[in-house]
Amino acid sequence: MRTRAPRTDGNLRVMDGNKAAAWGVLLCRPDLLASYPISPQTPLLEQLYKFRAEGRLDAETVEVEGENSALSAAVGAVAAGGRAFTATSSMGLMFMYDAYLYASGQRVPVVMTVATREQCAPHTVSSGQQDIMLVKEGGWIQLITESCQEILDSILVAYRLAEDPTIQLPINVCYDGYYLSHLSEPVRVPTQEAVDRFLAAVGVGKRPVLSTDAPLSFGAFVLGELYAEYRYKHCQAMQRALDLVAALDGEFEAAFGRPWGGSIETYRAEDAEVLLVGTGSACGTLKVAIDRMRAEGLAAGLARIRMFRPFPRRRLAELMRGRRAVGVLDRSVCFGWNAGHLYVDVRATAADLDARIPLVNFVGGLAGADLRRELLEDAVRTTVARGRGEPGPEVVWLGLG
Amino acid sequence: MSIDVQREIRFHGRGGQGAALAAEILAAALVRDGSFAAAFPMFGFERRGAPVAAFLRFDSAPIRERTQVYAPDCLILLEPGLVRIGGIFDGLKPEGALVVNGTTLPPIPAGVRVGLAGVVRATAIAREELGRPAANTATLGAFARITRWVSREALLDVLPDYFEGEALGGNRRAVERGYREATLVTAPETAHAVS
Repeated sequence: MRTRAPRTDGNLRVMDGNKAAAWGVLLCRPDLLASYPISPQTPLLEQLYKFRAEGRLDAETVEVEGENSALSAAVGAVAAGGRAFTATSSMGLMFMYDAYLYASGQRVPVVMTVATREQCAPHTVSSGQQDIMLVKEGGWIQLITESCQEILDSILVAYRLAEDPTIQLPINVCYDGYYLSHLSEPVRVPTQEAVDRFLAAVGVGKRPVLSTDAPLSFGAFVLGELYAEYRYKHCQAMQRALDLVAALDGEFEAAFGRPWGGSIETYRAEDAEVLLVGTGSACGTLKVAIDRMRAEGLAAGLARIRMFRPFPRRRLAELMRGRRAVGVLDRSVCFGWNAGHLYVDVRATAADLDARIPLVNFVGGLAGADLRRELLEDAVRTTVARGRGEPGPEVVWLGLG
Repeated sequence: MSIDVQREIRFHGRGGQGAALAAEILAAALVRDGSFAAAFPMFGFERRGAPVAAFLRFDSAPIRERTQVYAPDCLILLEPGLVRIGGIFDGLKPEGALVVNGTTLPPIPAGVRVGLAGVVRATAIAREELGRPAANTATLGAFARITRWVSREALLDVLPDYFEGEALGGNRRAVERGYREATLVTAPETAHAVS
């Protein structure tokens, strides 16, 4: 499929992931930008402020003294009926942890991007997915992207999904720090009219908000069974998001011409003997590695998890069924399991299958360690070997002796 | 131009010379010429003077790799003095291209076969046109002339996305002069080989 870059519809620009995120936010017409603009923030906010200075973005801005306040300000604006945006990364996400839990518990549909990075210590500012993995049980929806185009597109989908009256949950649109946040590549910017049409189903007046005319309470003091009811309904909404993201994918393709696969994107998976499972930018390299291993006769395919929370358990189980082995690529560490976080989920999913499938976990790409194509080709080979009965460790640390 | 296989470029420079921005501008120009392209900088500690690298791939098909460049088809050396710290020529493909900011090629390690090489006084051009030693845009002009992988017109066309006002005019002149003043150097591996 050698084609020239398509230049027929929309506006094709070369931009990095931060700018792609800013364009996505601009097109969604937020009412409020809440920001803590200092490290580990990304240039995304600078771009949004530039849009505002140019008169393209009609949003209130509030600069606060820390990430916890940034998210709290966004939560207030959204509870009052507005559309709000904030962004963070790494230790900034940790610093907003209690506001993070308030946002989801109050069912406030904030959209927040995370340029995913490692955690300290050892001290680092580098790429990794540990930050989002550490908050994965915080009750937010988490989307993880592979390209700059997918960042922009996922922000449009995120507002539509978050603000849907049957969902009403905050969403993280996650993109790998540096590998996407600073990767410049062609991105098609949709027209404002098309985005307005796509978002017309949600917005002002379509969900409960704070109002003096019809008073409501967000985050009231609750005990016992009523608390359980809140949690039960929260869990139900998370499950509905799995169905809605699939439906929205069809709608998005009809509007913008790009299907993404809903909760999981598959690549050469149909006839694959072994399945690789991963998330984020490294899946791009993994696709190239799979192509090369296919040329050597190894029938491998990929399931790229796009919606990490809620976890697409049933769909993944169907994709895993009948494979000779499943290899999972993680860019994070789950200390309690001596493995990667995604692997723990895949291992739990495997319990839904009738037959036992060999599983192997590849942990790598920590703190910006480059996931070279050769490392991922080795991961494919190792997965195939496990499918053929060769023994080996359950967790392989890529790049470590 | 149209290419059949993916090409990879690695930039080496020092913080402040604009290596990361050069990769971004070149990606934009290549896309303007009809290719797919992706570029990103090495992620280290950001400070002026520190060695930096940036990576670029272009192809007639979408770029999916999200990794550093280990086997470049071309090296762009904004700061050729970095060869003293080693590793600069690692992985350069046989008969690869070399674009150097300077008047002569740096010493090329034994066993490295350069197929195409050129030099340009990019820092001097930048000082004259921009008033500061940001050698990136003049070097891109020279790259266009030496390799013919990107058009000068595309480079000039995308500059307004990155510069405005006086800086835009200065960088336009830097690209033009880099293109015009680039000098091809022949048989570098024999002329400059060191053991």
